[in-house]
Amino acid sequence: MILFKVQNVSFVSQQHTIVNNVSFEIEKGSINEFHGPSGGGKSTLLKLTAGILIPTQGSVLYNNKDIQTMTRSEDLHFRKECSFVFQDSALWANQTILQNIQLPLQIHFPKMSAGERSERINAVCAKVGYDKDLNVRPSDLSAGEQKKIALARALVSEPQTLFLDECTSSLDDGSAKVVTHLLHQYVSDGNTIVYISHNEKFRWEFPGLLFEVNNGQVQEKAIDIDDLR
Amino acid sequence: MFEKIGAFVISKIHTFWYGIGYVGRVLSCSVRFFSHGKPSRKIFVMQLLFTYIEALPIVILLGLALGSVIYIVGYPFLLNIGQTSLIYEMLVIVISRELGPILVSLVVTARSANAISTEIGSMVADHEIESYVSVGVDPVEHIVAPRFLGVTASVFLLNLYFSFAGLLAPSVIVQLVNPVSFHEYFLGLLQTLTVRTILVSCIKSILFGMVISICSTYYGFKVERASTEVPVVGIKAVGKSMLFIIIVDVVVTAASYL
Repeated sequence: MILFKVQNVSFVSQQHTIVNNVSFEIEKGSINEFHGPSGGGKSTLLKLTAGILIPTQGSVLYNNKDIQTMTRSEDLHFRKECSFVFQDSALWANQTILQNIQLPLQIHFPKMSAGERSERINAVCAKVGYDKDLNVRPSDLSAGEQKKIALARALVSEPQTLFLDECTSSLDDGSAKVVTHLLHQYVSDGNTIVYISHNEKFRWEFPGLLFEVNNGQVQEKAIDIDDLR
Repeated sequence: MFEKIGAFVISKIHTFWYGIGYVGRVLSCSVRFFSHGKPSRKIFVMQLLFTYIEALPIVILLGLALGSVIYIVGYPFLLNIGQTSLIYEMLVIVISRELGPILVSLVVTARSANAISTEIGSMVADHEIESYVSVGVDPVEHIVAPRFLGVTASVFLLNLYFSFAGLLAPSVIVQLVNPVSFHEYFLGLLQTLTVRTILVSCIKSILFGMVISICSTYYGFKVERASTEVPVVGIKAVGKSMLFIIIVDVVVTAASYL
């Protein structure tokens, strides 16, 4: 089943074409990688696919519905189903870690009780391997810890698709293993991941469909495991 | 050359319509804030704290000083031309209707417009806005609406305090210049203070609050990627807020005298 259909998408920023007339599809339950040189437009393409950036031209369909023309309730449903982990974590600096993880729950589950919410937050923090104080600000954490919280924030609403932009960068080996194990479990539950990673170990762990992104153009091919070796 | 002029005009038209759309969106999201704004209530409260509570001492001091100066300078002048009864009208018009709202809004612009635009600008540069979008939070609803309401309410409340302070201060000064009883002073003031004056003052302060919050949030979102753009939008937010405050003041004042 096709989950995302990217149709003739282009993206221009400050008169520079970053993504140029790109089309591809992402299937439900699949593993997908955007790979290519730095500055080739991978992160922009990932954000366009996730509906975070609006294409200058073309459209992105999620379950055959154009993301741009979704109603507020359809958009909320889409955001609940698809989460994004940013390359630089992008935690809200003026909120505590607890508030950072809590906000998606308040948005997507407004009727959830405080007890239930706290239970779910504690569970997701344990899953990503964060066991420290939740009442501190992101600036009090290391880059690796911020990454774990970003992943916890993305997973707390139990999405069916995860967009991961360098999700293991700044993580130590132990933490990277925890995250890898967590993502294996996530994929084995039939969920979809679309990721960008320059970490060969991570790419080896998650072989799937490869989208080679270069100069705003995309070429689709299967990941060659031998290449990774 | 014609191509450049044409491109400039088209970009200005685009900016104008974008601005109109932005104002409409802020207003509609602010209405929604009352029913759906639970997660953003803290931002609203914090905005009141920073813009209203923290600015209160300076605004009261300004009101007391200005009220006193007007009385000290104005009374002898009016005495010379035998029109001392006009001192109440002078106080009410200057403090409550004309200078009060504009001075308060300039204090708020200096303190909060820059702070709001740089805060939002930093959030854009650090991808925090994208992060809000990714979890289904509408940035205008969550970030702009509580600030819009907070700043507007703050300017309105600060203007009331400024007027109280500005009209109260001469009641003490009057004892030094021209001893009259407090009763007589306040009676003179109340006879001059009309509903129209209060209404104009309130409308001005509300409009100025809206102008400050819309300009500062609008320019905050103008940051595209680099943190070096943040101080630039801060300066623009302050400048444009002042410009639009003066324009709105001229329009409302002219309309109030019609």
